[in-house]
Amino acid sequence: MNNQHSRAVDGRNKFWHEYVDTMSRQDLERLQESRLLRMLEQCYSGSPLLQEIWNKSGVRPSDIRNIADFKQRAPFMDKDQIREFRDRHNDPFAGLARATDPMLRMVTSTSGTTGDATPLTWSHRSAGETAYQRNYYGLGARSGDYLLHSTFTFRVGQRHTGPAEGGLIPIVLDHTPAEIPRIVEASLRFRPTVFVMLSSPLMIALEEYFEKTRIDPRDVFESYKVVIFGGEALGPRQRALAEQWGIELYEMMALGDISIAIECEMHDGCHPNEDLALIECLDPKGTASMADGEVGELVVTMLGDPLLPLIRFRTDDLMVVNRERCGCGRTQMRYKMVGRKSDQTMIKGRLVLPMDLRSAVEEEVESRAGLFQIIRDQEPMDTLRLRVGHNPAALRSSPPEFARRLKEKLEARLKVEVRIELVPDAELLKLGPPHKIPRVTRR
Amino acid sequence: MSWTMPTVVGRYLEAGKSQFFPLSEAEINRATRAYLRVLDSYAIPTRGHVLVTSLASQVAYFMPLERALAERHLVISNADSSVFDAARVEMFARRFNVAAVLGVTSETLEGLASLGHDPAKVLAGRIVWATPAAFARLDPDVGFTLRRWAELGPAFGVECSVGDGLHVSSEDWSLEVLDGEIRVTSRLPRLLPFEGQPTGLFGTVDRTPCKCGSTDARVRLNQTPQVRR
Repeated sequence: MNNQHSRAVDGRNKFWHEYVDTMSRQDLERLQESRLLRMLEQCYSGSPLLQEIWNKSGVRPSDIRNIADFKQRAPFMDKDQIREFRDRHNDPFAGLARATDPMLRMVTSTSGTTGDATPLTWSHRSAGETAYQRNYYGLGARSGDYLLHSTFTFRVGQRHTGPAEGGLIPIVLDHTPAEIPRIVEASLRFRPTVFVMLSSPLMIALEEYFEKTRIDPRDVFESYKVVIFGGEALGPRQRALAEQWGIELYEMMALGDISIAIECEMHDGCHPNEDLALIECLDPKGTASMADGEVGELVVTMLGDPLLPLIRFRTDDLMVVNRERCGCGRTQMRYKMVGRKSDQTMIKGRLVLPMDLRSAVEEEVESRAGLFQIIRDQEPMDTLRLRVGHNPAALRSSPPEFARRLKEKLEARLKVEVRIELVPDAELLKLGPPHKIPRVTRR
Repeated sequence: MSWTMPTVVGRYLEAGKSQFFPLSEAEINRATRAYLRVLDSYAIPTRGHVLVTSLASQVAYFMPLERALAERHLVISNADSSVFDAARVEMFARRFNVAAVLGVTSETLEGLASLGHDPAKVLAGRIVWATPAAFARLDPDVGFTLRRWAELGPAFGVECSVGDGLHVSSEDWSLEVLDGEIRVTSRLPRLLPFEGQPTGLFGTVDRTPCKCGSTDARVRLNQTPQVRR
């Protein structure tokens, strides 16, 4: 099949899996139910951790006959339980799978910024790989297109099976500011249509590179249909930069260690491929379902890979869901993240999340890297204590003067008292890559 | 997947500078076979666990390796071969029964040391494929099977269990030595052909069969100073 012909065939459909993306909610739930019942049996028999959790709650997979049963009776699990099982049983697989399982192909791991990375077990194909492929296609990437791939190796290894199956050609670069000249060179030479992924540190490095070289970013990014942004929520500063560079950023979010979700062209939330994961938005402090539009905790159940038995997995992520039909044509839900449950900080009765102060920090040239931490040494607190990173070379006044200016700005926006400790950006970067620095710390 | 279009674009180094390196499905398949010829000289048990350390940009060398490991039904984990990700290498080595750690770099060794770990203890009992720079920093007599793995420009070489030179696929590459430097020429059709490509590595070429049974040519790198612990 030549390239021209494959493009003509590709052009007939908007979605990689038209039927799945546009089926009625009723049909979707039927599909989810059949996958869920099969997944429960497979996961339970293969996962000592799941057996322990379910046995303790007195529920068996055979007790679950439909999604309603599941939502009423299935016990929850979280990352602490995975780690605790691993340590208690000295089981490196943390009870997620057995080393002897013939379907086990990969053991990947979480980023591990707060200690030992948590293991995640996969069979031959992760739900994330499937989700990437569907989203690239849905956003217009077609067979023969180049895909600039710049993510970390440790997440998925060097397989690149998803893009290959879709006929995309990945140009693989390291995700580091040192690769910026190569990113520019690859963009100009191969004219890719997809870039996965830009992050805050990469955008800061690109901004400096364009300032220094006088290369026109609009020329560099001219060919891209899709530029995916990930690592943390997309802030106003990144949006403004993207606009200057002539690119349309699509936000990507994690789906609780199960998969990823990416925005569509409507930019009104991320589509999570609900046939791969059953998603619940629950009261962060309880088990009640939250209505669409209300903030709740993302609770996910794997429907795509029995080797990763995350069943009613409480993610700690706070989300808002919208199940109305999307303007892109999908009937699947979309959601927005609003922060992490554990990052919520109460200041004199007012709830503050890191995202509430991010834009104020990033707007200042001295602190445009957006590096900051909330210091939560007690709860509740009367004053919002902040550690803010800055670039000493960019200071327009004395450090105390900059701190005072930022404090006044934050107090005006947040309506709480703020105390700021300034540190050089380099100090905070010792804690990890910029998007992985713990946003809330005890000291 | 096409045999005349690139499946992936990686990079190779030319005088220390990255150059784009498109690879077709046929080229990746041949490289996978080359890895299998070497892997089969080791006694890694079926369903054994292998930790691959690499950088994303080294896809041209590690995509075929991961395919070869998958073909032998081995379980794969990954870490970046950077100073920053050394903690992940240590975690996998400590928690899992890892049979082999492939692609170890001096950056990983540096990262382990900066975290207070003795690399020799972390790697003890495993098969270790180390880059020439990392190989020079490790003592081969401390309880692990230490072998070399190296980029040779667009080609790669890896030692079998015998450990008597880097096997370089004779199907894919002709080797010559010019002023002591190994140069590679592609033998079969490639999307990007090479003629006398300098590799930046100095040594000799042995075309006699290896004791492992392989007829791939072997490169013996010039002796690099050993840093004993």
